[in-house]
Amino acid sequence: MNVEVLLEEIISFIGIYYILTAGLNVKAGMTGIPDFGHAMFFAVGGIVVGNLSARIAAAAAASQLHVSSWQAVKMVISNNTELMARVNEILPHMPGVSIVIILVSVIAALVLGGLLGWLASYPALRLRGDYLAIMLLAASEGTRIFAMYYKPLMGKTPTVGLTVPNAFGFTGNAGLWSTIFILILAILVYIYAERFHHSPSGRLFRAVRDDEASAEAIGKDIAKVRRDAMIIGSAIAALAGVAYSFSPWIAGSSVAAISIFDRVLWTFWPWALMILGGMSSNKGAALSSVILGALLIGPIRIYKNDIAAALHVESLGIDPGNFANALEYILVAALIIIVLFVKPKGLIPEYPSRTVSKDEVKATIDKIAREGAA
Amino acid sequence: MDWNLFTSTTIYASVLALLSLGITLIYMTTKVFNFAHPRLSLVAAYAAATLMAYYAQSTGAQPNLTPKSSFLGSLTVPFSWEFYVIGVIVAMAFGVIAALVEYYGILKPLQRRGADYLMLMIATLAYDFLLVATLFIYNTHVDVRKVLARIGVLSTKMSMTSYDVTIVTSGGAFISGSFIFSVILILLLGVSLYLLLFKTTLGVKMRASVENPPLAEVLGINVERVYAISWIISGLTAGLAGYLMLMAAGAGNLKPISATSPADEIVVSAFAGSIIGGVNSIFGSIAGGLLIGYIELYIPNWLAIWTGNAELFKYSKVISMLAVAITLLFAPEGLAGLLKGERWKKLFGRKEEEGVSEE
Repeated sequence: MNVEVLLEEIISFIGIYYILTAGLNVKAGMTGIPDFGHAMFFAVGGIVVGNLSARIAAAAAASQLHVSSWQAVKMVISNNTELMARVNEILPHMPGVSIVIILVSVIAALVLGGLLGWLASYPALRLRGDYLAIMLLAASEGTRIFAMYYKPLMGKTPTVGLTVPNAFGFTGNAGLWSTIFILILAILVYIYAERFHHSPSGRLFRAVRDDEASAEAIGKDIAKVRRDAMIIGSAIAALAGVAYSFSPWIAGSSVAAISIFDRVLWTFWPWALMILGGMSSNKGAALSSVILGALLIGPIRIYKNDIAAALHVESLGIDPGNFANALEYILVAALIIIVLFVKPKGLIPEYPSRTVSKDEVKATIDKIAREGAA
Repeated sequence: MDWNLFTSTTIYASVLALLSLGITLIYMTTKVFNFAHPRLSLVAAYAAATLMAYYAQSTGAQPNLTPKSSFLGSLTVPFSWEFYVIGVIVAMAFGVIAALVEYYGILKPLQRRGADYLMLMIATLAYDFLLVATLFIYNTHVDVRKVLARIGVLSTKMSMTSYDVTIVTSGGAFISGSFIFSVILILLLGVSLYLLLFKTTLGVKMRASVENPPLAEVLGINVERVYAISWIISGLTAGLAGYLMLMAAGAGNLKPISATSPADEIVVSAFAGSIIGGVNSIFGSIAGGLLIGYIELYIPNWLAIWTGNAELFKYSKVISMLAVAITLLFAPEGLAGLLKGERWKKLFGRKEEEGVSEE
């Protein structure tokens, strides 16, 4: 096993899961909207990369393929595999176009994710608690089934999906640069989430979560807070989808409806990570992503077969390959249950907002005192 | 009218009704949507299949697939009746065991520690993962594979449809044993639940504990035991659903049984049935499950015939998702809320209980 690849894989995994969990944290942790349809917003990223950026790439490469741009754009769905294979040969020689594709994907995913979040806030304003959770789960499942079989959206075969344009090909080392891209996105999201946590709106979101009635009594618009939380959280989730889709290590060479809408991977996992790190705790989300990223991709996903072999499970009549797959589930389940029992508030419980620094408070007091004296 | 579509839809609808009933019972007592519920059926199905195969192996029975003529038409009974009885009983037993482990092992201790509904929901997910892992290991175990292979069943794609009792009538209509079983089961379940809830003291206690647990406790009702009984009932029904999944894999939207399938696909439909029934209504959940089963298969079928586009059939599950959305947004009390007539009140939960307290 190549150490460099392993390291890139771990970092990509941590980055994608951190971004996804940070998005969920805004919705579920800070505002108390139990979003069990998080995968739907994540999938927006995959759909943007598979459709929009693939079309841009095809249009840009059209002249070298001896077809008109319009024909190339149409071929993205009708003849996906063949066209994209040729586009991906041409694209590495067009660094300008590649950078445009990446930027457009990020912006489009943020906009579309926010838009879908805004749409999903319609039920979020009307329902509460577990009803809302089931509603969003049903919405996510419905979109998944629709996307899976709707050919203009996700291609002819639901399990194969659409080939991703090789936007990082121009750097010469797509694996490394996509990892750096994910890392940058994750750091930006971390800074944003941390600032948001301490900001007045972050405090307002938590106030609405803790006591809607009193927040309303002091004149806060509850509906707007819940809607904003859905928009921000969903936009961040869509960003995670873009990061995932561009990663040759995690997504591979194509995005398929069956994998980007997977509710276990993209809804329940972020939930587990959020509970593990601590609800409404951004630092906790980052820590749990790092722990699980290092645990799962490292020892379990790479060495699970070795672990199964070392335990000699086949002597008990157990199939080592399936034992290895089961290990992943057992680990996650055990981790969730232990955290729920031992540390229900998570590894880093919700921390108070840092508002004004001590010195600033002191300076203000001094100023008032001076003005009073004068 | 397509007879085969009708029978397979009925089996599928019955499975959904059984699961919705279990989800509703658990929600009423424990206040948690149990995401692991359809997985309990898979556990039951694996236990039943293994012991049925083991029984066939130990008695040396070979499947007898030659039809006999009877007064109904040509009848095929591949195994002796003990084979099927073992299946049903083992499925029910393991459904109950898996449900009770979930309740006493995870949910109840967590509730005692003051966990909120989100934590309980996540805990049911974790239990679901544990069951998946267990089934992953179990269904590829050498011995399990060997036992099942002896009667020609693939352990990772399990189906016993070929060993179902079948009747081909003189008119050419095909009737499977699991169709008859599911119809009788739903009727029996409806009647016995009605008798239990409305004609016995235990039923009064159960309804009281659901309506107002602290008050029921003050009046000397053992609320804990009532909760345990509802978990047992939902385990039983999950087990029966598992047996139906095993005997009728391929009916409706049911897939052959593996560690993940059909639970992963069916879970949202089962929740849809429970929600359409009104979440807090036992009979509503049975009706809701049946309704979801029928509309999920009949509406796309009609649409496909009407538009001549068979592709539409693939979207069948979108219908149950839409049904959930419409119910939650516009009629949150579901079927139970819609049917408010005097007679219906008696059958469909919630409203009725308010009537009793007024008397």
